[in-house]
Amino acid sequence: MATNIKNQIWYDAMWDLAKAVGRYTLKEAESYENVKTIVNSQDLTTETDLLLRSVAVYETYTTGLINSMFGSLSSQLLLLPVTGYWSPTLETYLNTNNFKVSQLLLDVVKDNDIILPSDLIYEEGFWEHKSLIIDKSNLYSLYHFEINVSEDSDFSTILASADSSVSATGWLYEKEEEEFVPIPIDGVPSSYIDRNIMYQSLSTEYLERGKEYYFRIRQKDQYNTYNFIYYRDSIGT
Amino acid sequence: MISPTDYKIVADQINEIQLIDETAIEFIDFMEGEIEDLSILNEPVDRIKTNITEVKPKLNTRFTTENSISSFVRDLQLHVLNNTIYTDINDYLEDYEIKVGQLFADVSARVGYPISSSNIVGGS
Repeated sequence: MATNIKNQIWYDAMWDLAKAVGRYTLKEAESYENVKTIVNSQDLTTETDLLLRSVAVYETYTTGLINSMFGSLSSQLLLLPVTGYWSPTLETYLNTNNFKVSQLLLDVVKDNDIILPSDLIYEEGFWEHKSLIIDKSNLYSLYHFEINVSEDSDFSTILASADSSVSATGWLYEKEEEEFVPIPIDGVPSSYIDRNIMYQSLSTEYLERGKEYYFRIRQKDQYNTYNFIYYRDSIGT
Repeated sequence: MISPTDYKIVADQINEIQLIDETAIEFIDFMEGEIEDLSILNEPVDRIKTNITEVKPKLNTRFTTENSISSFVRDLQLHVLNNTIYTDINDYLEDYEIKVGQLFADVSARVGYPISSSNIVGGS
């Protein structure tokens, strides 16, 4: 297996595990809100019938549960580059591949055993998008990309928006297999179809940890602006 | 008794808690596929695969049979039925035009209070 592909698979697995952990951290907050709703009802019958049950739900989803559920898995995945003899240390591995990891995974590792410098840990709320460049025009094209994020499925309110034709900041494309470099000002040539592009959020675009959002992305070239592709994703940092 | 507004809020919160489980399981499934792609490498990958096979049933159990969630929803529906004229939770939902999420409805059905599709968000 090519080294670049192996590294990218590890990185993708790290993101998916972090998103699962992120979802669970939100569960604790959501069940706390449930308790608050019952308390704030200010109705004795409601509190008598439901408060203890509500607290029981909250107590089910404490930090201890998240750690016991995901701690060992996080540790094994984070240390795979070391135990698999890919790299002498995790820090070296991350630096060599220009990777960072999610704080969420470090938090659930038993006794916080894995210590990394802050520049190798994504800031809370950071997110990134990766997708294939698709052949849209059947002509030689220079592709740009636009991404929007919303809490609403109809995108009535846009929380974050980035367009590589306006600013290339945060936009990368896969120039060599699994190796990402900044998108050129003129756009990505159509010779890179079936390679990936990536958008890495700016600090002003950070979103809520663990929360699920609606995303849409579209391509544009010198001829057309194409339809959006829609999906949902969670914040794993 | 609980107001219809608070009932709706609470039902949505339970739905969201269940949705969190569902999406967490999806992410672990994705991760499992990625780790499978690394299978040819060596023994540490096998340990991760073993760990995933232990975590997934726990997540699934939380999603499908979590006692605290079941008990809360059962007591919520009983609370409504015991403090109103209604004998079927669907009549209460219809009269107050409350639509609940599918995952809340799934739990409700699990504890003996099935909810009609007309009272479920996106239902007919």
